[in-house]
Amino acid sequence: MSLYDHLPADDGEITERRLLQSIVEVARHVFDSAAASVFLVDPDTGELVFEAVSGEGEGHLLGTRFPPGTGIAGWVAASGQPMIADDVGVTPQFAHDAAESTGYVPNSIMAAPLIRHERCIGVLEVLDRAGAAASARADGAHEASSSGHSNGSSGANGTSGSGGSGGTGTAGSNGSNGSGGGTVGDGLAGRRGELADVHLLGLIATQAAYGLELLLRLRDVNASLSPAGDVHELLQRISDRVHPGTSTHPQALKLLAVAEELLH
Amino acid sequence: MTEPPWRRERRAHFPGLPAWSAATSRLALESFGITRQEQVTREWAWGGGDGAGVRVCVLDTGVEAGHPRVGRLERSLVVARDGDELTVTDCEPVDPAGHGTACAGVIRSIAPAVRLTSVRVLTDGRTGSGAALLAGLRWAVDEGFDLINLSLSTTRSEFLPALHELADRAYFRRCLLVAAAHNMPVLSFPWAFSSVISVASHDERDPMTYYYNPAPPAEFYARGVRVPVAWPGGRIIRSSGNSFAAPHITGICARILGKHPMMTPFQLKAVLYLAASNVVARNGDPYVAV
Repeated sequence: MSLYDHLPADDGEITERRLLQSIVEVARHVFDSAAASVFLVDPDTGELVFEAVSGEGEGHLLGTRFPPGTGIAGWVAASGQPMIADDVGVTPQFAHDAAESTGYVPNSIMAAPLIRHERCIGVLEVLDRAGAAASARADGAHEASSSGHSNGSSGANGTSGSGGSGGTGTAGSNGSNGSGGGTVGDGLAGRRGELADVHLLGLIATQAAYGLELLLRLRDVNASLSPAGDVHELLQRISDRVHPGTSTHPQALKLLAVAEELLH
Repeated sequence: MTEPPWRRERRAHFPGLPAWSAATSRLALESFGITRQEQVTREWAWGGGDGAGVRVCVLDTGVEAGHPRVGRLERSLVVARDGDELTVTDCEPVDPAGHGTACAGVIRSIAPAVRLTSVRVLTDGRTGSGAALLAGLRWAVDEGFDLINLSLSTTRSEFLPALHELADRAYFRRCLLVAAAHNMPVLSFPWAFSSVISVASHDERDPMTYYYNPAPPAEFYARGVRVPVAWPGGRIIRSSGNSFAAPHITGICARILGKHPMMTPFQLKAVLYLAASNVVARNGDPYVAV
């Protein structure tokens, strides 16, 4: 089966969809995960709608909706903060709910908001990245050992040093310098670590946000070109898109002026 | 009990009068409780403290009361839409998304005796929840909480001036906002304000290890990777994100305030700095207890 078989060939959104699809493909492969997907946050209802899926569920999930504000993707959409939740599949209730809605039960979920023009327009989600299992094994080893907490000062100097070079001091930039002093390396050799995972997810989410915005723009245009469209709705949409204080393209202004004359 | 000076209603002042000045040569300043900080060590700062008497508000998705890691909630409220108005009303202690329960559990694990209140501001999952955040935060600041945990932020600049003013108002009323830094390349607030304490993640396991970041706006790094957190339904999962780092600092602040109730927000921030794992160690302080 080719990558894009489930996309209809005569789809007017083909380029925009493929861009979004290629982004979730990259996300799935970078994290060696079971699935990666992009949700649109429906601006009217707040529902989350699958717009692109790679991996588990890619054949049947497109267009599926979830109620607003629930689950990890819902929280990420509402709060604008990325997060990772691991070991979520261990309880039967969660497994049941997840299987009901998607047909797949993940053990770990990583999600980041897609932000454009100060609004969260969607969510990028990665299920069961390969590193999660390794971290879980390391946790098990750590908790089995008698040492308890990390030893303070050597870890302290190592991590604060890399954090300082992070410039903006965000968690992601801290983590991208490596997984810190010797306190957390046990069993994780060669692994990026969660901080770098979140950082990378944020970068891909930035791309996905642009991809989703392009798709939404195209839909706006298609909707306004529809001959059955109501002129008042069209004018309202135009008015909604022109944010106060932003500059409008001169050609667009001319076109609108011409349209105004014709409407007299 | 009379209100302390920092919680008193402000008098209306007029420009042109020496309204903010004090004629100290004629009138003695009123007396007030203080906390001195001559020798700040981790032991001095919070050793033996459990956060008793400290009122903490969790502004989030709601908190599931009775979860083994959360325990009892003092109150549970929600920001609801009433026509055009946003109101803060009492509600059932539930958490449809799980995030607020996780944050509350982290605070409780560090400061077991704190008095927790939940205000649900992330209600409908829709963008534009900045208005609900603002309404909830305004209520919490007016209510006089000692600490407010904000593991969320808004990217909407229309809320910037109002949030800024509210954060300053909280600061002067001795209500400290502890906010999760945004770990994506977008502008958001209130975490980036200097009147709040902003927290990003380190990736070590000790919940009491935290670092000062000499390159703010994210001022502190606290545990934020694979944190065992409470999840609705009495479950525990592992979560990563700055959202879970912030409540560690909230919990530590609660322990400090429990021991030293007269501390001001600027003192508290200074104590956090002086007791940070990378600051005490470098001073070779003999009382360091990491």
